[in-house]
This record gives sequence, C-alpha cells and structure tokens, in this order.
Amino acid sequence: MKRKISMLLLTAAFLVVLFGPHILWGMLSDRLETESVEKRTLAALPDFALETLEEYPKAFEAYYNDHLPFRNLLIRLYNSLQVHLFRTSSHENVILGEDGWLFYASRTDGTTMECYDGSVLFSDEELKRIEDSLVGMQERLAEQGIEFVVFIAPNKERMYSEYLPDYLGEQAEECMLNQVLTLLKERTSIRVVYPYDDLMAYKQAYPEQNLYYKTDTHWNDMGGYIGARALLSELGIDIAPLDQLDTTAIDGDDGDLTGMLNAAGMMEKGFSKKVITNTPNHVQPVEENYNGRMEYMSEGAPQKKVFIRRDSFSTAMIPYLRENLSHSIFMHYIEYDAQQVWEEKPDVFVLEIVERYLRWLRNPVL
Amino acid sequence: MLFSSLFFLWVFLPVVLLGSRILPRRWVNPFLTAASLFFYAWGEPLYVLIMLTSIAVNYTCGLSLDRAASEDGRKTVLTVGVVINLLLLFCFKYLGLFVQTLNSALAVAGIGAALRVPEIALPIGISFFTFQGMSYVVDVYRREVQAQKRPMVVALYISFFPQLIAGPIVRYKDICEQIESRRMTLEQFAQGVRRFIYGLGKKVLISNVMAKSVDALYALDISREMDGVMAWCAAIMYAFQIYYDFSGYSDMAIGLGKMFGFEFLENFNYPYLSRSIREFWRRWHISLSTWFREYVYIPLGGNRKGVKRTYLNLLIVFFLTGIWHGAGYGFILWGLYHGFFSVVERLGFGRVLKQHPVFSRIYLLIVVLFGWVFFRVENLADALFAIKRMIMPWAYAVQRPIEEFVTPHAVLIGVCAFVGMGVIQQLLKRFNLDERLRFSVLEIIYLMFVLLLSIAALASNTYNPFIYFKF
Repeated sequence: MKRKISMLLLTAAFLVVLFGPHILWGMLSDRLETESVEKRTLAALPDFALETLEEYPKAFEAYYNDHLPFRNLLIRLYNSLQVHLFRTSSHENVILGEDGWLFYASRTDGTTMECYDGSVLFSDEELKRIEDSLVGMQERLAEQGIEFVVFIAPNKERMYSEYLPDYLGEQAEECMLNQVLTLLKERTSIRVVYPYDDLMAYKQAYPEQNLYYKTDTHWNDMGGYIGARALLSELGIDIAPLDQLDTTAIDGDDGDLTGMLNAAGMMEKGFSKKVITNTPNHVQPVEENYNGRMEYMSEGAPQKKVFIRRDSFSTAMIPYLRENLSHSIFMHYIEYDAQQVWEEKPDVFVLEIVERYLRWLRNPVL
Repeated sequence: MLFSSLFFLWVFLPVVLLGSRILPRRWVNPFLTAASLFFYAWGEPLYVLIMLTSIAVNYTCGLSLDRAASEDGRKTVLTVGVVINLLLLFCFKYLGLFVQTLNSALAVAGIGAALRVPEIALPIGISFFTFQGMSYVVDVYRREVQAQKRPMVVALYISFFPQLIAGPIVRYKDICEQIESRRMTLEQFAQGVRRFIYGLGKKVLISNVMAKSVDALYALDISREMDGVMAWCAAIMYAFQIYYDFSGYSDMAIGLGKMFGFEFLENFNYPYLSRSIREFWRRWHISLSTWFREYVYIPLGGNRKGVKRTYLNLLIVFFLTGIWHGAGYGFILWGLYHGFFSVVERLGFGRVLKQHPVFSRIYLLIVVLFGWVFFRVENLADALFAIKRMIMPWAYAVQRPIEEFVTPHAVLIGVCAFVGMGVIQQLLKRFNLDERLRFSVLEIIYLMFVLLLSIAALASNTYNPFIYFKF
C-alpha cells in the first residue's frame, strides 16, 4: 500500500512538472523578471507559411527556447550552482578567478589568454607588417602636420594576474605586447603611451582600490584617469595625480562578464567610482554617439585638437581627456572611417587599442 | 525532436499524454501514430517521407508474404523487402562512403577518373527504423508472426516515437500484442516516470557535461597539441559520455514506453562491469546484438559450421556492427577491433579471463576504452596519435594545463559517472538496499531533484550570451 502511495506521489509530481510551468507562467509572468542580460535579440516567433515549412520546426524551437517559462530563473539557478557549488565557470569565455574576480578568455574577441601565456606570438613577417603599417601612418600624418601617438591599454589579466587561477601559471615574458613595445621602441620613432607602470605604482600604493572592475574586462574610472593622465602627459598637459583627488561612488551597471556568467551574487560590476577633478574648464558636448562619434569642446583647456580612434577602453578616459583638451573627437572603431581624420585635421591622432586587440595592428587603420 | 529538450518535456509530451488518456480507446493508437509521425517530421520535415515509404514497403511485403502461394514467391517477396530496406539505408547513409572507397580503389588501380562524392544528409533514426522494418518482414516470412492487416499498426510499430530515434530496436513479435491490447496502469506509469527521469539525468547531467570536455579536447590538433594526460582524460570521459548518452536515451525510451502501456526489452545492463568482450556485447546495445544474431549470425550458420566459419561469421557481424554505427573507417575499425578480441577470447583467452575476476575487469575496461578512441576520433591517423599518447604519456610534453579542459564540475560528474556505471548498483544489491529504496520517499525526493536540475540544465543550455550586444 505504501508503495502505491509513493507511486501516486511520483506520478503526481511528474505531471505537475510537466503541465505546471506553462500554467504557472501564464499566471505569474507579469510579476517575474523577464529582462534579458544576454546581449542579443531573442528569437522571434516564426511565420507559419508553406514556403518556409521546412525551417519552421527549428525556428519555432529557437523561439521557444528563448521564451521558456521561468527561463531567467532556471538559468540563474543552474549557473549559480555551477559557479558557487562546483567552482566552475558557466561560460567557456569567462574564467573564475579568486576572490570573485572574473577574467575573459576569448579567442575570437581579441586574444586575452594568448597575450598572457605567450602561446601565440607575432611572426617576423607579421611584425614587419605592423612596423610598416604604423610607420606608414606616422608618415602620412606627418605630411599633414599631424602628430601620431599609439596608446596601449593593458589587459586586466596582466594587471591583476594574482587573481587568476593557479593553473594558468605566470605571465610570459615573451608575448605579443612585449614584441610590439620592443618593435616600436627599437625600430621606429613612434610615440607610445603604455601606462602599465603608472597603474602598477598606484595599485601597489593603494591595493584596496581596484583600478579595473572585478566582474568586467575594463578598467574603471580610476584606472581610466591614470591612463588619461599618461596620455595627456605625452601631449604636454599635466593634470593632478590620482591620489590627490577625491572620488565618489556611482551606480554600477552590469559588467560585460556578469551577463555571460549569469550567476547569483555576481551580477554587478561593483566598485564604480567617479574621480572628482574640480576642473575649471567648461565642457561642451558636440556629439555623443557611443558606438560612433563623440566630440567635445572645452573652454579654458589647453589648445589642442585631438582625434582618437578608440575602442571601449577609452570610455573610462573620456571624461578626463575631454575636459583637458580644447577640442577632442573620439571615434569608435565600429564606425571609424580614416577619411574623417583628414577632414578634421587634428593636431594629434591617437590610436588607442587594448592589449587583447593588438593583432589588429597588422592592418593599417589610416 | 530530442527527448532532452524543454519543447519535448513541456509541449509535446504533455499533449500526447493527455490525448492518450482522454481519447476513446480505439482512437489512441491512431493518435499515437500521428503524434509519432509529427515527432519525426518535426526533426526531419522532408525525410518523414522516407519513413512513410519504409512503412508502406514493409506493410505491403508483410501482406504479400501471407498471400504468396509458393515458397519461391515468398522468398522473392522477402528478398525484395529486405533489399528495398537496405537500399534506403545504403542510399541515405553509405553512398558517400561507398563512392569514396570506390575512388580510392580506382586511384590504386591507376585509373584517374574520380566520381563526385555525394553529400547526403542523414535522416535521423534511419538505422533504427529500417532494421525494425526488416525484422518485421523476416519474422513474417519465418511465420513467427502473422502479417498485420491494418496499416496503422505497422505504422505505429515502425514509427513509435519513444524508440524511433535511438532505439531500442524492438522486434515486431515482442510488441504486436501490446499494440492491439494493453492496459495502462498507475504502477506501470510510475515505473515509466522513474525510468524516464533517470534517463534524462544521465543524458543531461552526466553525458552532456562529459561531452563539453571531450569535444574541447578532441577538437585540438592531436598530433601537436595533445599530451598524455589530455589523451587519457578525453578517452575516459568519452567512455562515460557515450554510455550515459546511449543508455540514458534507452532509459527514456523504455520509460516513455511504459507511460503509454508498452514494455520494451532492456537495452543496456551495466556493460562496463563485464569481464570479457563477449560479455560486453551481451550488455551493450542488447537489441542490436540480438538483431544481428537473429538475422545475420544464425542465418550464416552461427557456430554450427565449424570453428573457422564461426570466427568468420563473428567478424562479419562485428564488421556490420561497426559500420551500422557510422559510415566511416573509424567505425569499421572499431567493430573489427571488438571482433578480434571476441575471436581471441574464444581461442582460449576467455577461460583465462573467467579465472581472474580483477584482471578480467581491468582488461575489459582498457580494451573498450581504446576502442572508443577509434570510434570517436574517426580519422585513423588522429586516433593513432591519441592512442600513442595514452600508451606512452611520458614521451609527450605537457601542452596545456588540464584544468583548462577538465573543470571541477567535470571531475565531480566523472566520479558520479564511475560510481553510477554499475558500482553503486552492485553495492546496493549486495546489502539488499535496492528493493527497499525503490519508490521510497528518499528515492522520490532524489528523482524530483534530478528532474528539476535537468530542466535547469536544459534551460541553461539555451543561454547564448555575447559580451557586446550582437546586432
């Protein structure tokens, strides 16, 4: 008899799990979180037409999978279990570091791990290509009287390698970054700003103050300030060192790695601070298109028109660059077009690139 | 459609379960047939026509066999039926390999011309339903069953969705009575639920996790990027992956069958506990070995035509077993590899194994493990590279830290996989706990935990985030 009751129980529970979710979801969905952190458009309901009948099942299942009852909850649950209980990353491109630090392991969006362990290096032929493309840029700019500066932002994996898991070992001495730095120093006269030493010095002096986000690949405003200061210094403009300034906490939005991991307790970028510069210069935005062109005029700032071909690492630097340059233009590589540089005729052209994208240098951007 | 998908669990299965319960009795079989055809068409919108063809051909052959007057007539119908089934299978599965082999042979013979290798998509489950169709025709010919007059019954037999995609291969005589008359009881349903949940967990929580590491490892350039530790990890995890995937799917099939009142035969019986390759094939994919024994080995004479002929028959069966699994030289090699050990055991080694319970188990695991490398890494050269690294791991420098491929999660699942491959089941039996735990409150809680975790895992698999917004 007892067995029969258990069988009934199991059957009932199974049927609840089978039939329940759609019913419950219909009743509760309004009140539950359905916002997506996936950073892609979820599949749409396909049209049912005779011509596309063959693709319909796959398309429908794609739609269904993107709109499951309790989808966010279930994903968060499983990923959290993986991350917190099994200490395993729930995304192949996210590395779980110590103490809640997340790192990026991508082979297609730049090459972070290869930069770190030196497993991929530039060949001599590639180094020649880089040299030619950058020197070529320098010459073409010089013909128009435009200065050229290359700015390399260090990878987070390099700056905070102590939080990487042990099995990844030590940073390689021979790596793409060092190859490029050596090349530029020994074979060209190109001005390079690589603020690693400044960042490390501040980090060692104030270890509790993170300069990069724990759960995002980028440096935060403080790291960005140090980078901006290094660049401005190269341009002959001095601003106060970071430790002389105050900071204020600001709302942190999602980190770029948090959405990929999607695990409880690791959904925020954390430690967002804005540096209070108390600048007397008045910044006037001319255009602010994050994926395209951002342009500012700054009254009272040193007279310099600077055009920066940028990636996302400029974002943290922009507030501090724009107030110290009379005219600054930031073009994101997504919409960058070399023609604009010739049209703008800036005093300085800066190629800002994060370490993991160094392979792009093989192809000239100007 | 996959059993291990939320579309199946939350849409297809509830609808079909509901229909099978509320419809009038005589509509249930047609309903299940229609649902099964829909199930197949959902995965193969065009190829469902092949299955319908197969059903029509086999049904017609069955009737013709009954109506044929002479023995010659019957033989003709049998031949036609078997040939058409094999032709279907050949065209859609083996044509590419055949043309490739032909081209190689032509090249060896010095003839320059090469035929274009056709690229034909494989209809899912074709190896299963053609074999089921042939078994029907042969069983009718042998007068072991009567030809089925109602086409719907033949259709249901061949296309029934629980066993359509991945078996077990059901023989018509084992199921025809159940198609016509079966009772659906609570006890059977509950047993089905239990079986299904274990199968789902095996597939989603164990096999899929193993697959992640295995795929990452075997995707490397084995000759340059794989070291000894990596090779061993890949092989062991694949051995778990394929066992849990295949037996898990069989569990789900058997469980689903029970939910609809059908009892299918067992397809796996803890094969990694075997002590010989002979025993292994009595425990692995039982329905396939049974099929080959019934329809190939015994008709060839089995072991009744002398020792040499027995070995030849064995090798033929293993060759066919290998090639049944896949149209590639790796599969053929794997089959013959098993055949070789089967013969060796019959030559006297089997007696040695019987006397050494520990050694025989280690022997079995090593032989099977190396066999899986050929099976998984179809390219022969790459397979040999991997095997060399397994035999002499010290000769190959460490390429990458193993933690990159084998996560803590994978290690935990690997341990569970080892324990669950028969070890814990034997232990429970030894202490008479297996009967006590069956359908106990503890087991029910455990089953619900497995079910819910599997669902969460399936949901997590649909998550495909990008670091920047994908335009």
